[in-house]
Amino acid sequence: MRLLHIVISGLKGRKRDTAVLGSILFLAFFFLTLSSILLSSFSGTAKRERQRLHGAWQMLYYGAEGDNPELRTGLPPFAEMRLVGETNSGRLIGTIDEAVLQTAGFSLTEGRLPEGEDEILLVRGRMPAEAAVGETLDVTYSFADMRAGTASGAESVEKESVLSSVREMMTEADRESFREYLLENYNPQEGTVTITETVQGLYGEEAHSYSYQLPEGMDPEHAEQPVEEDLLYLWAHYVYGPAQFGFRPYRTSSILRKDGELYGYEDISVDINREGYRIYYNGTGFVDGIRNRYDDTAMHTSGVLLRKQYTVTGYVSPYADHWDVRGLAMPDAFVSPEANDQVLRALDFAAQYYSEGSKAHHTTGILLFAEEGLPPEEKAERILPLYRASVKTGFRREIGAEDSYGGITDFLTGRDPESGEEKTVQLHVYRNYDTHFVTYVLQDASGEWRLLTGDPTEEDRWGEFADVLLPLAPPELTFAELEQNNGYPLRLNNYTYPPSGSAGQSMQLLAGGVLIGVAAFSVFQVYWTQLRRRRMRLATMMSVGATDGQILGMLLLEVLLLLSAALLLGTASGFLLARLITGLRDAQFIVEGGILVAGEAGCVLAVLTGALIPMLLVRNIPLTGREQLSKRTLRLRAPRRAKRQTYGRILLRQMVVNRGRTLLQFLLALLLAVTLLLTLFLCHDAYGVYRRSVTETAMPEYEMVAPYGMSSRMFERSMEASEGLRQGSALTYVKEAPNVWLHCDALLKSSPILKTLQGMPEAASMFRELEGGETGFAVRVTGLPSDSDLLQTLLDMLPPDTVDREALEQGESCILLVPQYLPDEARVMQKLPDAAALKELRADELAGELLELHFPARYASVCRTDTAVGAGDEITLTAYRQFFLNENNETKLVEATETIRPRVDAVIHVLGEGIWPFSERNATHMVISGEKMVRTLYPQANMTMSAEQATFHRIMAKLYYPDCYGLTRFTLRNLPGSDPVTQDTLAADFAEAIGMDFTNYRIRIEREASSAQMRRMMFFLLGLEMSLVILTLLYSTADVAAEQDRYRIGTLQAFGLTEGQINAGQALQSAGIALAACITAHPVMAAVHLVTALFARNPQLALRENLADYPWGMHALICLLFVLVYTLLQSLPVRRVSQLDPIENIRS
Amino acid sequence: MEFILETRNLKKTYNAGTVQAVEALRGISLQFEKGRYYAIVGKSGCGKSTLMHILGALDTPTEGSVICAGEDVFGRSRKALAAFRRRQIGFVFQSYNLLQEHTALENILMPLHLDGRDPDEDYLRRTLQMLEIEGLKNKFPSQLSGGEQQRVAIARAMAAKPAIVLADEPTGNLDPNTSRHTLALLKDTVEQLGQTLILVTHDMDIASEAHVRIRIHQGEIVDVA
Repeated sequence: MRLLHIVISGLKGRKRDTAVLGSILFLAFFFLTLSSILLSSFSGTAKRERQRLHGAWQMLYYGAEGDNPELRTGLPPFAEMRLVGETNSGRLIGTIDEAVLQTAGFSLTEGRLPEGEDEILLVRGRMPAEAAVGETLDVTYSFADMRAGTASGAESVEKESVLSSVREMMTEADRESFREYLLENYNPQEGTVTITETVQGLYGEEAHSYSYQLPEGMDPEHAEQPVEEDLLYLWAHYVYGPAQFGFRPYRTSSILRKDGELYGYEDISVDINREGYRIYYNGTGFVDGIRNRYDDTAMHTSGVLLRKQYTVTGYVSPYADHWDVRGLAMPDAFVSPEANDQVLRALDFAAQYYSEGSKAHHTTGILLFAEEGLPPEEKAERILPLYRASVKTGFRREIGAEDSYGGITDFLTGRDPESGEEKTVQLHVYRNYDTHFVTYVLQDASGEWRLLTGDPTEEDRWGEFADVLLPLAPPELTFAELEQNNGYPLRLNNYTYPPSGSAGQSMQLLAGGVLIGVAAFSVFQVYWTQLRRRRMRLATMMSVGATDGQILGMLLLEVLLLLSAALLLGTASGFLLARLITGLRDAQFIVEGGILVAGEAGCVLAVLTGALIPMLLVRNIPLTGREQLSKRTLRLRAPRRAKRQTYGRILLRQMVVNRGRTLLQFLLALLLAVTLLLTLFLCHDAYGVYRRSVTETAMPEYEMVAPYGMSSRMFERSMEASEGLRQGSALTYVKEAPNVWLHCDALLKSSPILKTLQGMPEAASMFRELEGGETGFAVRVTGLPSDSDLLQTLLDMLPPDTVDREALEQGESCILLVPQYLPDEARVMQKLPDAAALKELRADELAGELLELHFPARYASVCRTDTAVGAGDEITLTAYRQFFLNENNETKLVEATETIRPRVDAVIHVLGEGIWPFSERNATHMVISGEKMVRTLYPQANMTMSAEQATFHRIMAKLYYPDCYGLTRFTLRNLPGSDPVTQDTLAADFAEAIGMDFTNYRIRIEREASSAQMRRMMFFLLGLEMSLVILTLLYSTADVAAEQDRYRIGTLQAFGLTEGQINAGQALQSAGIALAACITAHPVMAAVHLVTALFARNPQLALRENLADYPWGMHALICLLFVLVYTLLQSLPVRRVSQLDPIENIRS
Repeated sequence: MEFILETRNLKKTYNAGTVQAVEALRGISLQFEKGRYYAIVGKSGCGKSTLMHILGALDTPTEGSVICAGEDVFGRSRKALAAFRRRQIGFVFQSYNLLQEHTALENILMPLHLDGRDPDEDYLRRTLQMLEIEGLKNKFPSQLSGGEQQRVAIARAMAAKPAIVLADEPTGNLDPNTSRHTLALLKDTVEQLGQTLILVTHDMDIASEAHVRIRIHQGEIVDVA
């Protein structure tokens, strides 16, 4: 207690010392708490925002079987979304409960979750018909692949109970309508349904065919037996499904007799036309008996339709566009698990219809694994066995599309029978007789499905088949592969949880480390200074018998007391301010207790260490308490001639003598200057990526690219259907011709870019030998409408009347965009990836990679300008086109070229302001002209396609005729006031509806902005904390120095030194140090800048890029403020001393 | 008669208003004539040094005034007070108060330089000769003995040709021989230059040489002889 009393009295007595040390400790805990909470709050808010946009689940397993409970033991916690089934309009219904709602991160915008068997929750905008909450909605499920094995249909006909459940699903009105239809279209007759064959569909689904065979001896003309039960499925398909019920549903003339017996009906076929693929079975072929494996099929159908009325309970926000589930269909509406059970019960009855080999419909589901702290690697290791157990051999389907004629084109990947390696083939299964496409069929051979092909040129095309592909072996999926290629049914949610690790957490660690380090150093510095000043008192205590241990204990106790107070106050203040800031910034308040406590414990340890060193050193103080005169003072030499001693000179001499103190003051000033400037630089640099990729390029929110030349009028008309999107966004439109070749033989001599590129084997794809032996260089022609804002922006960059507008509109002249190039190709070449990787790059990207081509003005001093083409020159452009020509009922692929010679009105090397899409990062040569030029190059480039046509066209273009219809690029920018999430959905839906490639940059922009904001906040907080601590240190040092100087000042006061002289002298001295520190800080900053740039891909460019748009005005202001604040801070203690009576100072 | 300095009812209380308040001076009224030598004597803690500090405007009185040239010294601004110290007063401290990083000459010239004046070379040479420190002017205080340091301090006090030289126990840190020698030099110099010397001492032998002896006890004048 006595020791405690002494310590408390001491702390009270040394108020200023206590305040300084306490302030530093307080600041450490305050900023540690503040930065920790702010970083976790903002990164948590950003994460929650990502969760809202991209789902809260960490991993997803699509297609999990529901009947393998033993495999589910040991799985991480998950929520299960069962896939109830698909509707006849191709919408998927899933189940939802509270666990799914939470794990998926759905936002329930209206209403509540469905309960019981009769309720449904809709995803906004996804169902073809929407109903208000409380209204009913008809849903027709279409189950296509529920049956397996063969069975006699006769068994079911007599079993009323089998179909009763299905019938229950139908309304009375449906049944009435059905009966009317039957009476109208069918002669009642007695018949049996025989399943003649079960066919494995292309995608693993099972489909079944039926033939109706009349009883022996019965005259079909007079048959009057009702066949309601037999035809129920067919009717259901006809009414509710997209299936076609043949072209001639019933025709007596086509009754087939085989060996004198009535066998079935000709020309009755059922196409089950479902989303994404079409299963077609030849319905015309069985006249001549079995000629191929399909010919015994008279009618085909598969599946059951169930109709159900649900009451809408609410809406959830659209999510499928934002989830990383490419290729996996996600539910568009949700029912309760009980409703799923009801559907399963109904289907069970239908399954029992086929007693032989009957198989219940087993639904699959989506397991959503929440983020609950388990690292993704471990989580994946526990889920992979379940996944592997369910993966079967098969083919991988890459793209599936339907052409406008109803055919489908897929790409299937399997094993090459000869090499055993993966091989992809095109698969077309429709209109075999009308096209030139190779036809493939799947055949069951040796218990393994194989993809076979027949030679289409053979007269009997069904005669022989050859192995084309063998099924792929089940992939041995590992976590590393999952990370690398996140395209499996087992998916990582990389959007919400970036695989590169949590940037927020790394920043927290970095911020914490720096804060703790600064705190420890500051405490050491301040405490050591204070203890040195207290040496007289400590020596007195020791001289009266205090032991080293007692002194150490006393000092430790006082540090602990201050530490405890600072810990409490700092944490509480940091907590409160963080709460205030998060409230103001509309962020969630998240405290990661573990991290905060660990950080504060680390800080306590560091601070104690920082204080312990001075405590141990203090034991060496001589008992007299006096310090020997410094050796430097003893070594001083008298000046040859006595100079007039002004106070400034006196101070200067003092600075020279007390070099250590002066150096410390200078170093602290330098540290403060560097901290301030570095903070400014890092805060600026935090937005570097955002600035380069978003601001400079003027990146739009959305971009849509049609794989053909669409007219803006057609696009506008299409947009009218999406009123919300049109009203909420501004549209830019350009038409592009990507595979145009600039004749460059003449240019090769003078163009350094072309000359260099031609010498690089990796850039070979950018050159092409043109007709006549000339060399062509790939350029992109962009056609702009005459009223385009983009065109006006480009024209504004040029001197007036440079461009002949009329000639430009007619495609007779052009503006040529030639990027600036970096001359140091050798260094660029060293940075190149391997040649194989380069081949994967697009031509324009390749150009950028090889030569470092840039448009922004700030590269002007680094890059050179290619002046090979100038205004007034004529350039020759050739476009290669391919198209199908139908002559004499024969279709053939034709190649043609179109050559034009426009005049170059202007050449642009520098694009000052970002003009998307010209300012995209990958700079390349571009020819800008009117729309007419693109139409001249591609005569077919002004058309409109349906979504299906566009998809088909895209696939065809990929294989056969790349870019022959050009491209149309639309960019949409959200207008102020529009809801971005709604715009996201509207834009994605719109793009899907008209078959355009859609890129949502908004999410990327937001992610970049959020990440930049977090980096800036962290740097700001670190800078602020360091600055405040250094300022405290500076004040403490200045205060100590003033105390040390009091005797001297008092003496000088005794001889007439005025207060003004003292203050002016001090201010001058401090300003000098500040100025020196400020000047020295710049080379230090330059060195930091240089070192960081050295690690960049291209140091020369990094040096320039890092300082692009750097706020030099703010920099100058900070320098000025620094000098002022430093001077003020250093002068304040001296000012206090100067105001005292001389004798007070002398006595000190 | 014209007094070069006069104190009227000077009072000084340290820690005024607290329980630790100490009355150092309790109404001192004195008059100092030009060219005279005054010795203030008394026991330790009687208020001698406090009186000296107030006379030299190094400290401010709690009450009362110091009159110089008919004007209350403490009624002046701080700047004027500094000028008063610079031009009128020469102060010799018991512990010399020399600036260690400056040579003896620099220390001596400091009051002049701070006033922006150049020294009167003849006067300076004469002073240095009288104080026998001519050969020490380029030495640093750390290279000088106590007596030498005090003589440098006296030279510094004389440098600006002040009318009054205040010496607060100038020989307190010196041995008796050095003490006598130093004091003799101080007295001679002051006499030759026609300055008023006010000296604080508790040594009655030294005090006996003064024209006027002022005896202080517990902050009050008990005897002026």
